[in-house]
Amino acid sequence: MQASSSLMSGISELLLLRLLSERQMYGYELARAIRTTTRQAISVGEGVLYPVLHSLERRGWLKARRCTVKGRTRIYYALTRAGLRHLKKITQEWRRISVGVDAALLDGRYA
Amino acid sequence: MRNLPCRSLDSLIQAGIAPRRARRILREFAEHHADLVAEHISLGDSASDARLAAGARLGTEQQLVANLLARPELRSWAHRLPSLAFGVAPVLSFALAFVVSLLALMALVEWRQAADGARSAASPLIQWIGAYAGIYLLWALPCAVAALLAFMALRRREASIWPCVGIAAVCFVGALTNFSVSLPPGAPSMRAGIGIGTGHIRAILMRAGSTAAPVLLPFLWVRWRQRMSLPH
Repeated sequence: MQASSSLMSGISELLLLRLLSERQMYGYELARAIRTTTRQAISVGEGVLYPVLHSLERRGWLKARRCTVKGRTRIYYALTRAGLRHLKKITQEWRRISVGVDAALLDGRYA
Repeated sequence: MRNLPCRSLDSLIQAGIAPRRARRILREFAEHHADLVAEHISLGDSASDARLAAGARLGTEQQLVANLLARPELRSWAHRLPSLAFGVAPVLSFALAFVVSLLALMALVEWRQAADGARSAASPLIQWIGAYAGIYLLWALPCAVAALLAFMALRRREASIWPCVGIAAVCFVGALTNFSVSLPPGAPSMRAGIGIGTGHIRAILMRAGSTAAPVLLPFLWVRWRQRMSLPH
């Protein structure tokens, strides 16, 4: 899916928060999870993940934790309470927009 | 793990991303690259093909840097308000450190006297404090605050102007400051006073210069070396 960067940034934010609401993950895991859960429909440039993750962390919606797994240092991200509240809000917004756009695409004639 | 690329690290820090965050992002990026290479090798690619595929999926470090710099919320407050971080905050920090140090010295003297069971101006500790407290409060403390400021500015690759102003301001305020500690016989506790001296401007400037120079000159030299080492 090719889209403008601001739209993709919003979608990445929504997807990341949704995935992290289930369990904590690190960057590579998140990139794989996005591809799998969107059935390859959305392939976010994997390097774009980190600016989004750090931005979400900076705004207090994610917290990061350093873990060493099999000799590799991983930074695991988890959702905070504020992040969960934000996820609920942007999920509702996304559904509203999605319904509106669907309605316009299915019957877009304006008499 | 790969070594962190100096060029990307410098670009991020110079743009105002905190050094710790900049290092962490580049490490995560390097770890992700290693995971992608391993994934492609497990799918049967050669090592060089795997690296190419990983690079295509992840993007370049330059793209990562550009994406990070497009997010102003990732820039530190010190970069957004350098006058406050490197000009005002160090002077306030010095004032606070001065008062806290003086209070700590007084508490130490009081505690020592209580331990001795009698007050005595001839106590070795009190004599030691009398001899060295002035050196610490009037010379070492402004130098230490200015050196800490210089270290932070160098670590953040901050432009020189505000750190220089901050160092000069701390040393000038340090040179204006005086204190006195006395232990009057018969008084229930020791007395301390802090004052601002405005007379003898030449002596004040000499004192400020002598505390600023040992910090300012190495700072400017290291800053110059940092600039020279940057790739053009």
